[in-house]
Amino acid sequence: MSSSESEDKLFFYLCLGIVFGILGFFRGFKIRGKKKLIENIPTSTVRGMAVGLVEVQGVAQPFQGTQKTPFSKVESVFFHYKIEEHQGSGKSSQWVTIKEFATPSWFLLEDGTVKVLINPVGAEFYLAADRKYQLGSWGGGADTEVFEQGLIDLGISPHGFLGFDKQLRCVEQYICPGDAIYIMGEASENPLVQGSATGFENLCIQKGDAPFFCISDESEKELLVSFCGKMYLYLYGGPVLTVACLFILIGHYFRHFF
Amino acid sequence: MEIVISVAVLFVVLGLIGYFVGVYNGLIQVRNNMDKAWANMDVLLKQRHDELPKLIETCKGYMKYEQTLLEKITQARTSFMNATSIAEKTQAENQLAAGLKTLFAVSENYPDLKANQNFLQLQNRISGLENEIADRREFFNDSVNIFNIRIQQLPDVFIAGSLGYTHRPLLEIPKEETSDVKIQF
Repeated sequence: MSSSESEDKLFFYLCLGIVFGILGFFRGFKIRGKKKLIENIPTSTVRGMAVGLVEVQGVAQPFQGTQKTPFSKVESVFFHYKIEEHQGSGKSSQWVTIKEFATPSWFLLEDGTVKVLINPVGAEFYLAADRKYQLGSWGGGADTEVFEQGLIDLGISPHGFLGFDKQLRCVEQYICPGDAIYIMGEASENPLVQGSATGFENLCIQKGDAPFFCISDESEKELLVSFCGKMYLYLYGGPVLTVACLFILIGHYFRHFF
Repeated sequence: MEIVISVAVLFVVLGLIGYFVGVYNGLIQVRNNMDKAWANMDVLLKQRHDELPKLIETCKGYMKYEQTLLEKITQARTSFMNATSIAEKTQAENQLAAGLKTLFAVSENYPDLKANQNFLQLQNRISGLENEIADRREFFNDSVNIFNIRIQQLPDVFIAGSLGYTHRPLLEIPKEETSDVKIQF
């Protein structure tokens, strides 16, 4: 690589750093807004829930049966997976998402009072990775066959050129019946039940007009801790990155101007 | 070098503005959440009050010796309807809840009333509403608690003071309802 090329690359990365720093700073405020929303809204019981933004906690229950996750074959009420392939070579190689899917099926949340329907479409998920699979030169371990079979079932070939294994990885997250979950979303009209004498039966939780709709298998406290960490990282890290990149940029390229 | 310092200062200024806007918006949000929590509870209280005339009408024919109790419930209902402040409404609501509790307990002595389908239906409906009211009462108290904490915290206290936000009372259950019940055999 010539000196001019590496100079160009450095210039590009510094500019990128400045932009990412600024974006990160504003992202920090966005995360702060979500954190404050969680803090400001008390947890409601499903029975006492009213129309509008609500926060509920309870255990997941199936609504119209469970569904098997594609890789682990676990009975779940909701699952999400993301398959990535390592493409390219050398420094320009990267992980590219080749398939991502989240079940759109409704499920129930029970909190000891009554149950409420949850429509997960449009939610932000904060779920722990239940299973991780990998295939290729990084090795797959004991679950390679399970992963390969799951890929074939989904119509993705695990083998590439000349029959060599592709560099693939996958994260699978799921909510099983009985798992403790935390939800913040909009309680709005339940399309399946209308005109019930008990108000809560007329409601379901979905994205609606809610500024924030999240489903998590972490408790409210754990979620707040995670938001707090991210918030400080972006709010302080963003400006530091921008200022540092700007400092290097000016010092390296525009010194003679100042 | 001035540019770098100017950018750093700009970030600090933007950060401070963003922070105070966030605090202000947060206070407005908790205040509105609290008002909404009260309004949502009020809806259920009104629904229950709408059922009361039907209940009293049904009971009148059977409970000839409990006229004082029925009158007490009617009075509490009227007080609630005329109440304007949360404190007045709470007081009337507590009287009403106590009256209804006694009514349902006394109804055990009237087998004909207990067999009346209309009464049973109203009893179930009112008991269901009572449970929902209890949940919303708890939610309201949580909302008030968050509001009270926020307006006393730094730096929220300065903005809350300029907005005229003051400490709000919780909805408390009267002592007689929380004291131990004496059971005699």
